[in-house]
Amino acid sequence: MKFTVSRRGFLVSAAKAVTAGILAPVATLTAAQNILADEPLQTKEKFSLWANNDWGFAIDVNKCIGCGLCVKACKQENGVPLDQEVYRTWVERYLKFSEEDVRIDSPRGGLDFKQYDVRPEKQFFVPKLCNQCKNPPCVQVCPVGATYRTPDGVVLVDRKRCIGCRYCIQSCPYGARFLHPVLKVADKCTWCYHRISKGLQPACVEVCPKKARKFSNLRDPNSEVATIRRKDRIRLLKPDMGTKPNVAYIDLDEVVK
Amino acid sequence: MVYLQEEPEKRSRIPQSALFRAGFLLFVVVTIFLLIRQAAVPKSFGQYGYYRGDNVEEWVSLPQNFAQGNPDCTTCHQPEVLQTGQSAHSQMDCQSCHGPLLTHVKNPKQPLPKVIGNAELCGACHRELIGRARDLVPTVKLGQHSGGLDCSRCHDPHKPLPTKGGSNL
Amino acid sequence: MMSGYVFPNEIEVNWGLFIVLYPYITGLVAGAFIVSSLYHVFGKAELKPVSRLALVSALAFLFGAPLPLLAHLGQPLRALNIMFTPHMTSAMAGFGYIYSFYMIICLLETYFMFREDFVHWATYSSGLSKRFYNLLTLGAKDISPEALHTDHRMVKILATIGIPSAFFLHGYVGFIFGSIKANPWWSTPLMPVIFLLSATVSGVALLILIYKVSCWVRRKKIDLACLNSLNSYLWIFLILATTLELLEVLHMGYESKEEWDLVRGLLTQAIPITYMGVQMGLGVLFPLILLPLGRWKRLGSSVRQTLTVSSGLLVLIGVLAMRFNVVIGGQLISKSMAGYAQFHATFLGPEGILPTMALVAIPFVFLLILVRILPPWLDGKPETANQDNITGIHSRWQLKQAGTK
Repeated sequence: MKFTVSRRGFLVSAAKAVTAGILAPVATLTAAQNILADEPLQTKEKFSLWANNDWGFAIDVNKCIGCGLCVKACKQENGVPLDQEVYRTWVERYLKFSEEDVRIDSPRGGLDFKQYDVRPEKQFFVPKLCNQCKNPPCVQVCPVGATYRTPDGVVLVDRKRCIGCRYCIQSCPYGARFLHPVLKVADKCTWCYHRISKGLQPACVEVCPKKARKFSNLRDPNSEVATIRRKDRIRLLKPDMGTKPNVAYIDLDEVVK
Repeated sequence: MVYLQEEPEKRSRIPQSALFRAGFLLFVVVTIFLLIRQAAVPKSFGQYGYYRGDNVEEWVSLPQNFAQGNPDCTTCHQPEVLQTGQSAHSQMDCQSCHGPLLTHVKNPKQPLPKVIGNAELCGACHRELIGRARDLVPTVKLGQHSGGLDCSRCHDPHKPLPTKGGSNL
Repeated sequence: MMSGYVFPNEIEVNWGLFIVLYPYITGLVAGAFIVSSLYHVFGKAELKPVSRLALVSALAFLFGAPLPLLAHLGQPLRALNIMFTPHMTSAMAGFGYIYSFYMIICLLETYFMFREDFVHWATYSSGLSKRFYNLLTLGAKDISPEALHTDHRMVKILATIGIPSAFFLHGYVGFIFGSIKANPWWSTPLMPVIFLLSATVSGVALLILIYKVSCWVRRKKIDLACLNSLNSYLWIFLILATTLELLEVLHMGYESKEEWDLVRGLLTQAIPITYMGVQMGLGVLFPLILLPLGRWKRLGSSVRQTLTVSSGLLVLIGVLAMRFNVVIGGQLISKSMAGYAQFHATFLGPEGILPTMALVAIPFVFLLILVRILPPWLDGKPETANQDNITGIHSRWQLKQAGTK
């Protein structure tokens, strides 16, 4: 085969190589996929689950006594190792001595608060958990489509798809995510999706002795959280981040980030 | 055309130019990759969004450890539930102290470990702790209050006040 | 003054030394490739002695780049998910296709650059080597001037495409960090540019070192014009990279937003040694002075060589420190805005110092293997001709060929 070394001939050959190399297989396989695709699976339950529910969470900081029962119950309900420093939910203690001197701690997530002989000006506990943001940065940065937000308002992680790159953990401004020490995939609070989908309450809400944590369906305007959001003075965490968090804190002090 | 050795005896059907050969190799590699990809992506991926649709069901059907709480307990333990409901502990759920109870609700005959009303259990809420305002929950200095006795010696957890000794302090 | 509080889930740093390595290695790849392209695309003749070495180095380090990532993943067996279902909103999803595309470019460019050599090496070797080089030709054995002209044209095209690809290969890594609003040390639009510039810096420095070492091992005289040129490029890119890095900090300090207190605390209390001492001091200040001295004609040639090569080494250390300061430093700032986490480097443990050193060494092992298989030397070995005229299309093997044909 004789080659003519002309620019045109060369470019034509190069173009043919590119077409053959990349475009042709893509085209053929896309066509094959269309022929072979099934009808998307639809289950009535899933759609009613999503059609009827819009979950919301609220926390009344005035009521939390820092007992840590929620932290323990969450670990027991969701299979998070009790003895490891990873938490789906935790409780922080704030001790304010002056404008410049605010001491915060959360030893073992709030399971192990120590008593000190001090007299702060202000003292309170703040429970924290995943805010199930409406514009979640964790979903945005997942490289493999392993995390997503359901239409009823919960961000979940596909444990079979997650590659454990930890990018979502880096992107969460609230520190809500962690790498599960046993499963080696990302994990976080799911508002006990397996419970709320069956009409139960999340475990932490269930055991809170002072009812500081509140959970309900925002579709019902008379439900607890819907009423709180409508009537009480509430604050969200880091609203300037644009994440649109979905946990409303009643009477949250300015020092809490 | 210049070859260092004689013209090769058998002529391959694939044209011999370097460009074509490289392009052909690329074609083969990309095709193989796309075939593997086709097989590897789960069918339910992309069903509802950029994620595996089947995963929702996996989360919904996870096993629970905590029962529904008071409504479940009332079936067999109505007296205790009612008593607690009228006491200072009325806001609480049984599982706050008794822990996850679903296995018990499903199989009530199975013996449960007894919950001891001691400083470790009751102290979680009731020990004096900096951060814990005194008007939220009555607190005592652990170690000083009972001289080492378990809380349940004087306080019935289902009706903590008045104490078994009588006074409503 | 805030207490040292970090969120419970932040106690352990999530991205460790392996993730420090990945941007380092891809940076070396991008930088080495750019040096190769400065010759093949922009015709900088002084860089010809290292033009092939640069591409082979880029290839060796490209092979080594995914290893720290695979070692870091919680589920490495699922790594291909990133190519099967890349999530387009995620910068990290770019890894699969950008890396593969770039690998294809590099392999193709290597093929067209070395094809003539493959044909000759196949002829003059025997047994396994012969079969191996025959395979590498992909059966295209025509070495007429027209065919070689095609090869050279393809090299130039691929080198041209390769430049923006190299930018992407490292730029996207910068974007991975720069787009995380939750982390004040990472979040800046300048991050991709900073990463890319410091990548070029590290690549040029690497090439200086490899060139010097290879000349020393092969007992060849180093081409001083080439070394001088690398010196100049290193200096310019170093100034550019440092300017942007300083601009970022200056801007943050000037705007004095909430996160400034934390960042300032990071640089002055948490990582002052690696930031001010190693990254800025050893890695910038010293080379900034030593490099121009290395071009000063008043000094003897061996002194100038030492100055340039040691600057290269200092820059390599400094850029590694920069990656450390970005990756680890960023994670030390707690999202609670109220304290700093601690980084504990173990020696043997997961993501420890020893495995990290091994992962740095592996690309050099690849390089050793590659320079055996694809000798990139252009200076007078017996089998090669002694002239290579880049403007003409004459074969490098012309003299030998005249003997055999």
